Amino acid sequence: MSYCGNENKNYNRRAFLAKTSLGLGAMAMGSLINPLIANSKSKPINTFGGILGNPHFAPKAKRVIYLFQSGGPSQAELFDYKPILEKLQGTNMPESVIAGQRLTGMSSGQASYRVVGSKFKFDKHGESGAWVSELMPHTAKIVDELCFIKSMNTDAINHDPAITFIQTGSQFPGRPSIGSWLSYGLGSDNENLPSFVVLVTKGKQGAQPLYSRLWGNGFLPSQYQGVQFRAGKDPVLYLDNPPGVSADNRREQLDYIDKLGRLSHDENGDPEILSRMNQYEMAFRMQTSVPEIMNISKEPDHIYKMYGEDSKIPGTYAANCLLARRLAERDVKFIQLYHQGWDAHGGLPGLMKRQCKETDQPTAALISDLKQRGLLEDTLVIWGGEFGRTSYSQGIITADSYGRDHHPKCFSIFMAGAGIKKGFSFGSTDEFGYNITSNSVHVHDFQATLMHLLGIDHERLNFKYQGRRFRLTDVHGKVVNEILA
Amino acid sequence: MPPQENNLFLTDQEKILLYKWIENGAEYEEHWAFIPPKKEKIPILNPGFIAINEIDNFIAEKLSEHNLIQSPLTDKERLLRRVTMDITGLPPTIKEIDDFLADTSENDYEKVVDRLLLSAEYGERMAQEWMDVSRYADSHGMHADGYRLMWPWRDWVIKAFNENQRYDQFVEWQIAGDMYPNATNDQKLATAFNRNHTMTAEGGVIDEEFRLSYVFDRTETFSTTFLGLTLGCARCHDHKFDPLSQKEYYQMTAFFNNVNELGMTGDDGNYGPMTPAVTPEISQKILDINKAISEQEEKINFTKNQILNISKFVQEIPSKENTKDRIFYGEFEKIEGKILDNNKNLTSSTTTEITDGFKGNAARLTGEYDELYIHEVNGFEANEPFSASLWVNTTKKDSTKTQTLMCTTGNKNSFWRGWEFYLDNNNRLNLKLINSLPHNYIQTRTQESIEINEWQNVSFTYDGSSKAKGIKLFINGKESPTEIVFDQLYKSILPIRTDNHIPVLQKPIRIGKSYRGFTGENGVFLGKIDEVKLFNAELSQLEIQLIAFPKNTNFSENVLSAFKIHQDKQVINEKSKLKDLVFQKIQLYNDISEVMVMEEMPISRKSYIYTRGEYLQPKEIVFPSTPQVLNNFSDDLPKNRLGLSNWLFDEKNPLTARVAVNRYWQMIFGKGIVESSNDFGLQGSRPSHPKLLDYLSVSFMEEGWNLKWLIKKMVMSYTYRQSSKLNEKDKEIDPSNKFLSRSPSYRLQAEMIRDNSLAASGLLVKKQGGESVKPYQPGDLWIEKSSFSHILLNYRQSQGDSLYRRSLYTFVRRTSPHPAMTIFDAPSREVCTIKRENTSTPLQALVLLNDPEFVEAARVMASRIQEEGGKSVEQQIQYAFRLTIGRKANSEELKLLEELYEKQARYFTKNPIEASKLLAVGESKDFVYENVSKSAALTLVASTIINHNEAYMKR
Repeated sequence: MSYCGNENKNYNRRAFLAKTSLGLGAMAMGSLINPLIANSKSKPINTFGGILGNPHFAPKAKRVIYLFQSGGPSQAELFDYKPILEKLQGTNMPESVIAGQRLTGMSSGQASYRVVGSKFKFDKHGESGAWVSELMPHTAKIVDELCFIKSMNTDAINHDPAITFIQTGSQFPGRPSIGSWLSYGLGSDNENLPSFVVLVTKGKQGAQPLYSRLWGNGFLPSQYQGVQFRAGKDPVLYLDNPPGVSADNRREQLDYIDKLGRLSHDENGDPEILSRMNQYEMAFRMQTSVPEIMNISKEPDHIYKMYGEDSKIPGTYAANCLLARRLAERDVKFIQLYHQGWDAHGGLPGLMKRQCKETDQPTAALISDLKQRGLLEDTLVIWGGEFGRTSYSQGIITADSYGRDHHPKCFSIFMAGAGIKKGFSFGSTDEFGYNITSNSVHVHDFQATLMHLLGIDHERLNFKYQGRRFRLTDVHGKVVNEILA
Repeated sequence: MPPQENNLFLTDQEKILLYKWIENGAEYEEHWAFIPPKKEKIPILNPGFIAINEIDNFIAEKLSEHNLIQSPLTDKERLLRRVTMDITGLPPTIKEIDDFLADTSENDYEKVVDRLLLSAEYGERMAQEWMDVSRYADSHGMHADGYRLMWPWRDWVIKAFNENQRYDQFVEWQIAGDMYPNATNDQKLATAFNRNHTMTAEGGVIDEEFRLSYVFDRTETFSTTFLGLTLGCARCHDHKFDPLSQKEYYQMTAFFNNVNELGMTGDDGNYGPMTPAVTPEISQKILDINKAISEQEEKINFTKNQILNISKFVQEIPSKENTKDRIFYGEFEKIEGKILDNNKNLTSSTTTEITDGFKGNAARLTGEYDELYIHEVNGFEANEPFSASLWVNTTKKDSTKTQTLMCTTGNKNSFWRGWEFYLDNNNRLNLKLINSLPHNYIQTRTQESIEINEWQNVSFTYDGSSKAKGIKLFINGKESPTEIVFDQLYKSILPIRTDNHIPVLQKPIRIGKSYRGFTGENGVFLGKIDEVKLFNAELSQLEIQLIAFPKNTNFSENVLSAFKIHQDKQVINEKSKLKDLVFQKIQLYNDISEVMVMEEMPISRKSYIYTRGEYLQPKEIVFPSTPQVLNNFSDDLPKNRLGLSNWLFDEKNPLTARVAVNRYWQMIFGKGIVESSNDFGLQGSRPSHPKLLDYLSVSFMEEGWNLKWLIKKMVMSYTYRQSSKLNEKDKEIDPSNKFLSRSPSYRLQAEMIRDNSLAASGLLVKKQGGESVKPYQPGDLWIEKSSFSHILLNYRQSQGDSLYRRSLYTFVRRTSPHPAMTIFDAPSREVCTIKRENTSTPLQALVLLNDPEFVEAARVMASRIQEEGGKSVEQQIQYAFRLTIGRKANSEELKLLEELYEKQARYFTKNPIEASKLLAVGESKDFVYENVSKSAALTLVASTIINHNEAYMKR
């Protein structure tokens, strides 16, 4: 193939069937289960079912767990320690620092932009000596596993465009999400589960919204969309049999759907019928495999302890982190968590405490748990949001409260695991934590690096739509080699 | 030439092709799609082929070229189902099947086609397709993704299709209906097409950035939908493949750039420009009330003139200012805590400084957190006269900022509703009465500015007319010459709450800062304020003068005569009548839904080329024009949307007819003659049957852009009526069925699959039009993502009939579309979609098996077949099969289904409670199941039939 993707796209389904010996299963490629893997529990050597066939080069990561912190976590209270902010608290930000920056309508009307320091103490941790604030005591303990990027930056200054940008590569709706690009490119490693699973923390009402498009397929076929696993009954929509219908009834029904399908195939000769029959079988398998994975009741106590008390409550971030590990164990390729609520325009100290309490321990536990199971070697874990927050206060600084507006010019994320340097920090910001002073990592660079770790050349995974070859990174993106192990 | 970084290489085959072309003389021809279509000669039919109409001649020609033959005609039952689905989106009824089977006349099929084209469901089916193209939705699509009301436009689309409005007119109205002389309601409503794009209400976004994105969306939707061009590629740079320059992109944007619209709207609701969606009766009422109002206004003027002519004396000149109508007076003498003057109705948000004032002390406002409030004052409606006066001494004059003096106006989430008295960026006095921005408000401002660092009295009076001229502005007691900025107010100005849109009776009046928020322009007043007075009456100029100069007794004659009129009983009486009429008008309009439409601004906005499409980087100015590679934009045409719509349907336009014909071909045959139906450019696919496309395109124009003619032509063809069975030879030569040696077969669209099972069960409610409905949807899918929209906070499932409407009417919330629809590839409507994907996934199986929609349909069908299908189980199963699949099951199929029935019946006889549970799925309660276990078993049989591929595949 001279270029990937497009040829196959134009490749008609039936032509594909006719020409390959792979047969029917190929139909189901994508986010939804890869049937090409034989019915064995053993892990496949290669990934099948994606448009790429094989990755462009040997992947470091077999799967990704992306712990998305929606709303824009404040780097100033977490990882990007700037003592000068405390020292200069209440004074105006120097014009030389904020000059030229476009501000949101939330704070652009302010008469003054007063410096505000972190209300939370910072310390150096681990052998790597990473600065982490007291808000994240558990994360602080595992800093030697982490690679911080303090020079992330984005183009957007508001939530919707910014989160859409980091998750789909474009600020405006219509493009496929990262996970669906990966499903499209790489297919699935698991025969019973989707390759792209989404977990959202429950009960975060009032927070900045999420949108289906963040795990949507955009212009890619819909089998590449993320499948949301939800706490409670019906963990995947429509998974449960209707009331009164037992598994046996269902099995019988499926057998007859299959028999009718075969009759119909004999008459019409349409291979799509058989592929659809296969989908019914996979649906049936999912009815067992999904509840099984969602049932965390058999996890031992020390695991609950590790992830925190919340992990027993379905739908919490902690429970979702635990589920993420279970999904990773079963080779789900892209596990996307969302935790909303980081949008600290005002009342920042209280908000940060709450958010960190919900997330710090489970995040650290997940990474340690993966490590102790040997999964961290080939699992990439990402923690981060859509942008950062200003070094100046939005609104009045009072004795115990202040706020920070959106800040696109720098923010901090961390990564851990497959192919990533450990105990490492990349990129730096000025003394106010406002502008990047070295090693800028733009959102497209981040995306390119993510793909690279999965063995994909981000410039070569594309899809032709409306006359243009689209890719996740648009026409940008450089792999950040410096953070690669 | 694609740049090297793109990593695009020629395949060996392509290289050979190039060599061959060079060998043959390398003749260059313009891209086919840019040359206007010619009516091709109908090919002569080769022996062995059948042609019912011209389509078949063209198809047969290609088939013989590729050594393929036609398939035999399909059987009558399959043909009827196929054509009924394609034309109406619904399956045929048993009676329709029986009638067709019994009809042995020669034109039996044509009769069916004619009947279907005349059915009301035809319009719905066509509208369904148009909804994807026009990215129709019931929510805004970005951020809060709140409620929008656009369904009256959807209903107009259905009507237009059913009335078989000419396609050119149908499109012209949607592009420029508002610009027609004396445009009708429908013509204005049609332009909602260009307002269907997503919008954001996210607080703090930069208005221009998003406003421009809407203009881009319109431009690109226009190009994709009507021209099949990927003009969007030229937003950032010249098109890499097609002859479309970046400049041409921006010239096209200039057509769509002259709308007085907002970039940042509110979370829920529609934003102007709008047009009322009204019945003729309401239209008449509007005319009537407006007439009554102008008559009353004339009457008042007449009375005024009469009074002036009678005498020149005022009986009694007041010596003191008006305190009778004064409802609030703030002196700003002292502050304790946050309360001023010991008056709990005058408070400060902080501890405002009290300083030397104009009279006694005054309040000094020093910054953005320093505003004052007046409490317990009832809000004014637009028909209520009111006045205010205060002394100000401002230190600020900022060309980018305003200063709010007094206001009740809200923020984006309350449509900014209320009134605001403020100094603009030039320190001119302004009064604004707002129902909703940017289209429903009045605004008047002074021509002169007030001084800084000087005490001045500023006042306004308003007469309750809801007209801008009813506002008078005064500086130091003197009426100041004004200009009207905007003059269109027809709904309430009573402030409403942001979180539920319920009117607030007594919203605190803010002094010194607006309630706007989110924009960075908060109306912060800097300086001193004193002697604030509020009146629930329109004061006369004399009274205003008395406030500014209490000791003054020397009034001009004009002031005196104005006062005389002001005092006159008859005038007062007539004004009170006017007040009632204006109130009636407001009430009438308040109940009218308005749809977002296009409306040209009187003065065109400047359009620019933007570097990389970024709003911050405008380069050169451009004017409306169309791409050079297409037909010339004639000098005779107006350079606006009206001209654009004429240009589009100029017979020399090489694309319009082809693109439309191709899209409808795609609708009927599953795939366009140009497979890339959204790209007719150089990167698009070549037409499989170029001559056929051109023949149909020219004929379509000759037939007066008659859509029913076009659809009929397609479905009448032999090609359409063939069997869809795939034989070995076809599989080898033409596996993708490019040449149509058989009728295409593919999975039906999401909506059709659901509608089919609703229709088969008898649950379908065929009501046409109206508000979108919310059928069953699992989980808390809305609130778990977003809680910004109060109208769409929770998915509130519909009740009764609304559960069983056609899927066309299912509510489309863009950031969380109905999952069962999405699973079957229905788009989210965030952008224009010309062509849906057609996938096959396990989730689709789960929907058909477990979604209560389909389970309920199955169990209701179980009841129906026992009632209507005959006595024996065999007959009943056969009936279900016919209802769902449109043909009789053959003996093998029947045998299988009966077997399944037997097994299930045994189970449910043993487990009657389980049977009852199954029979309780869904909301419909009208069905009595005498034999519970039998009914449950039949339910599973019906479900099996719904899951049979022939139910959801086109065959």
